[in-house]
Amino acid sequence: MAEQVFRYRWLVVGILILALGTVPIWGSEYFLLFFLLFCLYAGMAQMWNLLIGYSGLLSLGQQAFIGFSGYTVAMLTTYYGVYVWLSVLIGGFSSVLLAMFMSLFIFRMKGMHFAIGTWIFAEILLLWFSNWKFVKYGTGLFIKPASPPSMTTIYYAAFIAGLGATVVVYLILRSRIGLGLMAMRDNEEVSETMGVNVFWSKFFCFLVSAFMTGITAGILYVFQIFIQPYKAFGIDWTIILTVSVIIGGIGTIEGPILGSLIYILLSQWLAEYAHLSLLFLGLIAITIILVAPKGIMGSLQEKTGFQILSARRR
Amino acid sequence: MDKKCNQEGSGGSISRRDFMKKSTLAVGTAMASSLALPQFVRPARASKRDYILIGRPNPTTGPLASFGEATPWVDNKVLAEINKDGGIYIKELGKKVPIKVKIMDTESSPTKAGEIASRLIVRDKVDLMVFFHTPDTVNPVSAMCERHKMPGISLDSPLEPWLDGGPYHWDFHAFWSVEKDIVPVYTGMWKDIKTNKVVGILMANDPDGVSWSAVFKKVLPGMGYRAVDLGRFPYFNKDFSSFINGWKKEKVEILLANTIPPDFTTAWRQCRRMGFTPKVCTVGKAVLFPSAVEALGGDLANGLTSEVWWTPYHPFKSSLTGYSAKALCDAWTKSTSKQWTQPIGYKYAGYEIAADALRRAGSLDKETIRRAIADTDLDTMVGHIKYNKQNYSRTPLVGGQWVKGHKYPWELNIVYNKEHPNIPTTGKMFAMR
Amino acid sequence: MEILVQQVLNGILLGGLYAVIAIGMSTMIGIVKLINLAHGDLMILSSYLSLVFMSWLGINPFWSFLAVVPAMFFIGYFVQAFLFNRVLGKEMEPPLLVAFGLSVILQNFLLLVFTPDARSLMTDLAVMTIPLGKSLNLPVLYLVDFLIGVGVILALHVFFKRSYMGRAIRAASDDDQGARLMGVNTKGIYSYAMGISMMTAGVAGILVGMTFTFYPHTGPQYLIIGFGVVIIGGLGSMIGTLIGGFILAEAQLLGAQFVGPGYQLLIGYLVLLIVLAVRPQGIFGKA
Repeated sequence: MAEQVFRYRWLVVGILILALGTVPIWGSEYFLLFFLLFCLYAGMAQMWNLLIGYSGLLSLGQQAFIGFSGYTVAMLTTYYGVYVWLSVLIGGFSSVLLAMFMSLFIFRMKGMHFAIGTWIFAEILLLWFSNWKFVKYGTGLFIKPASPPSMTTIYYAAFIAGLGATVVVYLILRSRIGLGLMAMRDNEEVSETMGVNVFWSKFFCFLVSAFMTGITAGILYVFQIFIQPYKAFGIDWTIILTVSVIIGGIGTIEGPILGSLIYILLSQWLAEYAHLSLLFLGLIAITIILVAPKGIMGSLQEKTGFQILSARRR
Repeated sequence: MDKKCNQEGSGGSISRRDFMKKSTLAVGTAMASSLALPQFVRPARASKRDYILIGRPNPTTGPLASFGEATPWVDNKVLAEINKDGGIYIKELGKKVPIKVKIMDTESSPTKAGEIASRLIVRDKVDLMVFFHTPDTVNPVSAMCERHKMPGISLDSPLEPWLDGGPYHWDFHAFWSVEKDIVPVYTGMWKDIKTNKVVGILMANDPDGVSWSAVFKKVLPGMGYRAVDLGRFPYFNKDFSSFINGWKKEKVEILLANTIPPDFTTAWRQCRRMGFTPKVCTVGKAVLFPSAVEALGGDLANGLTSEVWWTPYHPFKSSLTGYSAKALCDAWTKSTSKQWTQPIGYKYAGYEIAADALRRAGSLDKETIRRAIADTDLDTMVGHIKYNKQNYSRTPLVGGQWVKGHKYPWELNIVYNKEHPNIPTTGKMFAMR
Repeated sequence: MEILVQQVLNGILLGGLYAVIAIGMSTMIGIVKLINLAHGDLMILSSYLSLVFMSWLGINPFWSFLAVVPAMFFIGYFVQAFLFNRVLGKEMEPPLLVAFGLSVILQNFLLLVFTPDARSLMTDLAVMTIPLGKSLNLPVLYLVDFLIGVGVILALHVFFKRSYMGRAIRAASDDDQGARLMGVNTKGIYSYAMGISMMTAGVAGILVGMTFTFYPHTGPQYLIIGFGVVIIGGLGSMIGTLIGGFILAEAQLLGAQFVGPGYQLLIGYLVLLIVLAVRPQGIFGKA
């Protein structure tokens, strides 16, 4: 019985992935828009979760990577005519460079100081870009590739990025680094004496998170055609990621996916009532923390042992 | 974090209770999501509506809210006029149908504006987009129109930032140019006052600030003025003392500004606190609205000059009903007890152009509508509209000055009209000290 | 030269305001070990409360202190009692995330109720200035902010050192278990401390509302300033908070003067980052 349910779950996952991957075929234009946003936000949420849920790093500054990569893509495509998907890839790598630079400052900091450090970095980048003549100050840049990709192409890029983010997290957790991370989660000092290289594990995750966030953001901006420093580097991103992942379940692989779905559903449904959606999300998030701190998926896992994508080895 | 023993593969069967719990949860989730789904499961083919739907992104909230304030009053009013005798005749439907509008809040955010535009085009499948109010709204929406091949009518945003995103095929824009209209009006107003011709620049780092400062720095020297530019600043900047010190040092007597209203409030008050009182202060964007002007406090607003694109004194009439700009403003005041604001005329004109184009197109086909808009040659509430090869039409601009009012705390006088003498002046320009 | 002196003077005065913004945060971090990410938004809430009282009762902002500050005490007490006390524990994330959630809720609530229009607590002091010598000006409002700010900090200092409640709070923070063994209701103490923190936020909110314009989302800006002061000046030290305030304000103003006006905030952040990296406990903080 258990074996059947177990095999059954991979089938379900497979069907969902297939469905998601073929949206351009069966979905309306609006479905395409919806799932495109879903894939991208799920990817970013997954990466934020990698940091807080598994590496013990609270990042309040993911928007630094989002904006940095977005601007890289904008500059490369609009100013230098670089092929759009290559620009996105370079955007991802530029985020990694940024992460490495950031870590020089903030990796000595612990806990809250680290979190604030990431936020300050993002704010510095915001001010820098909005004062920089080359990117037209706060005006923002248009992203105009030489041959604009079709919505379907953009969708597939988003799908690959979103799926990729989840696969990457899954693989990391199943690997030796993942074992180390799990040990760190339980007790950092003990795991260090047991031989887990705490610093490199965290650093690695930080870089991976920066890379995937950068890629996802690059695709997002190709979709949006327009980037502007106040929103690109704004704290709103952290709010969205935080709230999505809390609701979905920190420290689970399915959590960010579910959380992003809920976020996109709610924000699309209430798009006409702007701030109601964020207000609701905030209320739900607080309720969840007080009542079921592990989020929907987390609590589900605790109560029923039900896990679709288990990070544990068998 | 404690870990529960992994039940799967532990050899034992999952208890029935667990399975029931899991499946109930799964079914429950499916049911919940299906509640949300009906919104999406609409037929993918273009719905056969019996009305024309216009998409209308509007900055209802946010720093640009004053621009969006008169919506939906103006929109509803002009639509009522258009729909009065049934609406517009559409060939495909074989009859006259009314126009309906879907207004969505951009929150004054360019990113949100782009998202909303996408939604309106892709999900609501509008037939036409009509939008206004500064580059932060107009630029991203026009980009979306171009991408999705949707005809668009836009106004109320200076030409240069809009042209930056061009060339345009689907969106048609009407407003004034910084170089060709603002410069003559501003410098024209300055000519009336005796100054040392030293101009201090106070401009934000947004599209307006960037394009205006570039243009002015280019043309002012040729006109005998010396520009003192200490750089751009970001929105919500709190301290302008280094700017003010710089202007005092250079003996600036003309202050040229373009900021969002709250930043100008902060800056202007600091000027007064630090004892900096220029003879002339001409502000783009920030003192367009009575509410912004009143927020300055005290008598700080007295004598501020600004660009004026529409007033009740403008000699234009509605192409739909024939009534004047003044009548429109009076109707607004009567209905809302508020003072008139400049965007009212432009919102009205946007729909005039739309109605006229739709009438001539007589069809919902996007290309036909687009060509009809391109052929526009109409006298509207804001003047004559005729689009050129780059898809824009320039509207008239005059200069105005805020003075203490009779009916309202502050009122706007037209003090400069050399390029458009058909728009009468209502007062004489004076120096602020 | 006078420009420099003027900026330094402005910096000192502004520093007083920054310090009173930060003192509430410092209190909570030091005593309850809680990082209240919603502090900035709660401060802005009090600015709006002041606005409401001013329009209801037609008073000027200074009278609104009488209404807003007690109101903020109760708000702080309840927020702590019903929200934060529930999640205080070993782990860092839940209180942080609750605070974050609270921040989101406050901002959007204020947005819905008050609209995003910029507001300001009008007072004639806003444009008054006292000339000092030939070219120096002493902006009256900044001076008022400074005096009130320093006054609040001194009052708080005396409170914690002398009063019974103050000592109980310090006991609870120093040794939670020990205090409980002695019969002290630590959770209640924490709520009280939050109430006090919110009172300072109330004062700060009104001062800020008079000096600058505010919107529903101005909260985070002040949160960063609060952090900046706490980090630079160090925790648990009143002097530290004051000095931290001066340093941050001065860095901003001098940075604007020498690097460029648009870089004002940037210089402040850079200083903050450097302090975080080099001496995270702050100048006066205990390691």
